[in-house]
Amino acid sequence: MARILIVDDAVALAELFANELTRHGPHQVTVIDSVADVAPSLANSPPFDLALVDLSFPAETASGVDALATVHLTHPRTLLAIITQGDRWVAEPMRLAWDLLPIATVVSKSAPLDAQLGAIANVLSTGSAPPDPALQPLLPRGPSGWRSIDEFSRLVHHRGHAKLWRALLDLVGEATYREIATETGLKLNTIKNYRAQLLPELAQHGLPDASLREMQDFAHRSRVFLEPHISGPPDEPPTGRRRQAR
Amino acid sequence: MSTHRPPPLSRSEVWVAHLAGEGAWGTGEHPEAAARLAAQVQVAGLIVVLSVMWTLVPERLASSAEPWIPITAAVTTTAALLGVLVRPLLLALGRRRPLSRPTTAALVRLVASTTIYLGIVVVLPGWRAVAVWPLGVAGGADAILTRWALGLPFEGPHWWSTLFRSPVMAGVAAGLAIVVVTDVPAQDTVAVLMLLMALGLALFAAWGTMWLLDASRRRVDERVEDAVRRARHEEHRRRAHWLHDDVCAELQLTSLRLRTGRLAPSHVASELADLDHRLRVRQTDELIASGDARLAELVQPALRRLQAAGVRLLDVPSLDDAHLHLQPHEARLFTRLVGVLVSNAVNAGASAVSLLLQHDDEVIGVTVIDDAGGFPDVPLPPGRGLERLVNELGPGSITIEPTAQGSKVTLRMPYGHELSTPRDRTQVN
Repeated sequence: MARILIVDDAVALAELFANELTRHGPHQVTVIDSVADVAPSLANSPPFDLALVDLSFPAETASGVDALATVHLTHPRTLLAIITQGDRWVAEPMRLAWDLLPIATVVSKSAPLDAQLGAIANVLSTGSAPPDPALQPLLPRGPSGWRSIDEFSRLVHHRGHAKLWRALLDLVGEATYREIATETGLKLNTIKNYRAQLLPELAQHGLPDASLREMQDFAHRSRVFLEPHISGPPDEPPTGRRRQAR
Repeated sequence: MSTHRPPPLSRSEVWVAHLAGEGAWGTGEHPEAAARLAAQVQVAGLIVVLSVMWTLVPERLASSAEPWIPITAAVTTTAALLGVLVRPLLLALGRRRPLSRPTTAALVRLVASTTIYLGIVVVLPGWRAVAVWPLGVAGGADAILTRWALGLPFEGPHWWSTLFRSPVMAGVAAGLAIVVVTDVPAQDTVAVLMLLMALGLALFAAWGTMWLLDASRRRVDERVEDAVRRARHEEHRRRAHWLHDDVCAELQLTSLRLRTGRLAPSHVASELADLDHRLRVRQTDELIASGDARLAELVQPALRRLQAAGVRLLDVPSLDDAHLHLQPHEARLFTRLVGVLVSNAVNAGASAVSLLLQHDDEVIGVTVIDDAGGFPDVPLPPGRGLERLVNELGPGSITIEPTAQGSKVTLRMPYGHELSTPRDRTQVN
């Protein structure tokens, strides 16, 4: 019997699906309807065997990617799976999760129930299953070889970069140099230099020559991967060559 | 978040930021309309200054004992003006510009501004300097572009009064006082006064330009906000209409058929699956109408339809094959192609299907491989969807190959071509 966590704001659908999983397993299934409740739930229970997470949570600022990352960072051995309708607006977060986290499979909410249960059974027995065919066109054949959670540390070389990212995350609306300077106390020229220093790293994330607005969007999208580095970077900028050979 | 609030930007920092200019602070992205207008004004101002200067140069040369001095000054000033003209010209043309470092930009622009100022003093002494007030227009446009890039508000009259109380103006006043109290010839005093008047006129032109451009941008912003508000309102109405007409009406129809015995309870699931497919096709139509549809999203309804029909999907495209963005007329044609091929496979009783995509710069190909026992009708039966498509696309657009258990059909459509005639546009819209 496996312990399965479902994170989905469509509670009625999730509970119905949980009943089917319980009946077919039998499995012990816990349903959570909010990303904010994931961390407390993980803290108060033994590790789950599988976390099945929806991506779209319109009522929250966090997304399913945050929930998946929270599960992975808390219990790295828990298998991760995405369950989604696979509409256009979840394509980008799904790609992000696919590239950065060890996603065992992607289940379509529109697929026949047998196919959904079959994919989950495969994941529990073998550790992975192919993504649902209707969702495969939104995903590359395999996860990106060069993107990883560790790569996000390269976006925060020192406390100054951390201040810049913090301001980009905290500012409401579009960030400007003036607003960031007012928020952080950094000089305009310093902000400009920090941005220039980060451009090569951002290019690795598919953002060549990123503007402040693009950096802000990226920060919001990748909040869960950036924040651990923002809270504890080194005090002083390192001297000499910042980028190390990969 | 910390409660400590860092101090606002210092005045000197803002001045240095202005000296560095928009080139240091802009996003480097394609400029918005207001920025392009400001850049056009800046370009016009600089061109007028150049024209005025070269119109007055012959007169200056004729009256000068040492003509090499004004001609050298004119050439140097022209070079500096052309140098500062490049970036606003690119901006005015809507081209993406490389960004420069603030310190470098500030130094280069300081040298250029000083060269232009000294050049004008030499080439256009006395009253003639008044004629270069368009330089103020160009400077004002440059300053407002920098303020927009930095996110600094334009302070209007406050900025004007601050300027007149600035150390620059104090220096000018002191210089004037020295001229008046010392034994300076009257004609030199007049020349200095004229120069001061030219400076004042240029500053006033700069302030007026900033005020006008900022007001025009705010007005455009208000119009855009208003248009966005109206579009949102219309979109909400459309969504409500769509829910009423399509979703609610379809559900009502299914419910009625169920209650009147025209739909057996055992068929409700397939009826709802069919409704789900029809709604997803509508969703795809909306996506196409938005003007930005990818192959990845366009192929999804067909794959879901095959799944719902109980067909096993052996191979499907990944994002590597399906990342292309299509124009609306291409997207509509593509969905027809996929729809016809998938319908044929389902109607022929396929139990396993592979759907593959191929594309180059000019052609997109869709291949469906099924196990439905082969293609019985070659040539194609007239009047069917496939036959109509092949007639539209041309005889080379289809390839049919038999396989061990069924057939492999590939349809190819043009990609990356604009519609040629208004009639074509009407047909696909």
